[in-house]
Amino acid sequence: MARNLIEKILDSHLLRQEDDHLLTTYDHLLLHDATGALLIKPFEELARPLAHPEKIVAAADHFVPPATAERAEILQQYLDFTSKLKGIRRKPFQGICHQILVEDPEVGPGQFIIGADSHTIMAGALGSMACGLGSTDILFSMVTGYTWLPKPPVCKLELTGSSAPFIRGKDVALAIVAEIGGTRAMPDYAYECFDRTTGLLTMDSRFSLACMAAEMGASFFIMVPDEITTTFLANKGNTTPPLLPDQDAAYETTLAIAMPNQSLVSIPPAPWHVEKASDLGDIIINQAFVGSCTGGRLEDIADTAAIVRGKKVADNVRLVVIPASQDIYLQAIRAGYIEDIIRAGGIVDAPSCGPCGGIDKGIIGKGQTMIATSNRNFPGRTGPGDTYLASAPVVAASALTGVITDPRNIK
Amino acid sequence: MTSHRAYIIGDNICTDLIHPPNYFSLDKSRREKGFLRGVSTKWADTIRPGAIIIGGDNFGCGSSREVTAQVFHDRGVKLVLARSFARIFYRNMVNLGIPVCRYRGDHPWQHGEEIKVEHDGNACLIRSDQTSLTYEPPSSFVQHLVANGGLLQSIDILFSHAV
Ligand code: SF4
Repeated sequence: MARNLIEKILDSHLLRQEDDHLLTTYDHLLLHDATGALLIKPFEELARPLAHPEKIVAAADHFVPPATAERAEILQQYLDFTSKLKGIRRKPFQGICHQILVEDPEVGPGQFIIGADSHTIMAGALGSMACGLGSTDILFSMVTGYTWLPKPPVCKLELTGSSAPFIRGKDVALAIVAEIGGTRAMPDYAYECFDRTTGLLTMDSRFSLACMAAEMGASFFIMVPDEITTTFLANKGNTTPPLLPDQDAAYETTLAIAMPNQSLVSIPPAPWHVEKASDLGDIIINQAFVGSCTGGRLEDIADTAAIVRGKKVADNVRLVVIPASQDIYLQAIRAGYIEDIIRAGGIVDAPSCGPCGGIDKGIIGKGQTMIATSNRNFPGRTGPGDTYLASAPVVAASALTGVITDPRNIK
Repeated sequence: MTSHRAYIIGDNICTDLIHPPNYFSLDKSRREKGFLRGVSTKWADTIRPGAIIIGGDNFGCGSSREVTAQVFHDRGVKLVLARSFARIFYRNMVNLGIPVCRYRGDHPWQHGEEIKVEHDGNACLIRSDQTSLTYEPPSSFVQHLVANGGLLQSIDILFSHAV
């Protein structure tokens, strides 16, 4: 019988059905310092060995470097804990956990990936099933080697249309979130996304899109692999032939989304309030932030550099740029992007989550406004001020003018 | 019948409102102070054990930080109802053995209300003015996890017959 991609991946990972749920194996399990630290005590109390240490990837990215003494202590407890777990893949300080996961050559299509963070769903951009879980779920998987889930209904999502100047995966993500986020979210649904656009989204744009599937409320979000995927995989030394859905596979529902033809902006207090950048009045900003697992990749930094090169960031605006990984940082240095940004008056910080989770450097104060490439703008998420979400071209353009700006207006 | 105080909150209540990130801590006494603080500072200070929380759609959207569920446990919440839950938050609650159930349609109460209800032990809450809300029991797998006290407490039961 014809199967969709979700069904194929579940079939290849199924241990057994238990009541109305499935017990499945997984290929990788992702940890980071903030949620990983919550596991330490319960893991010690549970006193069971790791089922598959080699499947565990342990990043440290949230409190890096820590901004308060308490966070320094939490980070240290986590580092001490993970260094005692023999055989795991420790990767502290190499970047945001989701980015270093997809950079890992062992991570590829057809896999089942779980992580102690909601944006783990981003790895679905490689053609795998990936989802975020809470600490107890993760602990259970660490010691048993399995996870539990209801079999998700699947939506076939087709991206259509063609690319326009300055339109990135972030704009596509915002268009979809506007359509299916918030009270319209279908929290049990998995999405299989077919890129049918002319020109195809870049891999960096696809990561950005899949990352924001968390804001769509999706349980899983898979970019169906194509030549963009296989090229990315080959470049990191992964030659696994991608698993594909059968041509005549059945889906519970379908959705078609056209590529936006103008830059979009999400207006606080939630990602699903979306408007065209050109329709916004003058919204004065205090900070422009390029970073996070949604918007800190090379494409975003290249866009930022291209827009600010030879110009100056507006008076009283802080342009904060945080590459999503050390690897991206090095590439951006080599390409001259970092120098362009610094010369324009930008502040470049070491790879970490920065202000995205509202817990570290770069957060905004009361009454302040930020435009950011990150993924959430719920009240309090990035500090007590207001955060607007957009692509790197919009954020960079806004940094130059001091108001939220459509990048087409920068000459 | 048992009496409880119920707290009514609206749609799209995200984890950052349920538990603002600056209350993230491994210290229980600091952590539990953050409970619902983004929704109501009064409730954050006054909600007592035995409370019932009633949300709307997309309850718990946002982060996977389990502290956002743990605080319901810390504060002795008896039952959490919503029209729909965000997936990770729902799992986190179930995994910690906190009863979470869905209801269909609208309920008669307003966001921000704090009311006294009787629980008839039968998936129904009744207020003194006879307005009521019935809810649905979760799937049987989830019922088993909650009845066992949570996911970790279920390991031996789940894998006693596994290969
Ligand atoms: S960058 Fe933001 S969304 Fe991504 S893992 Fe870090 S805190 Fe979470």
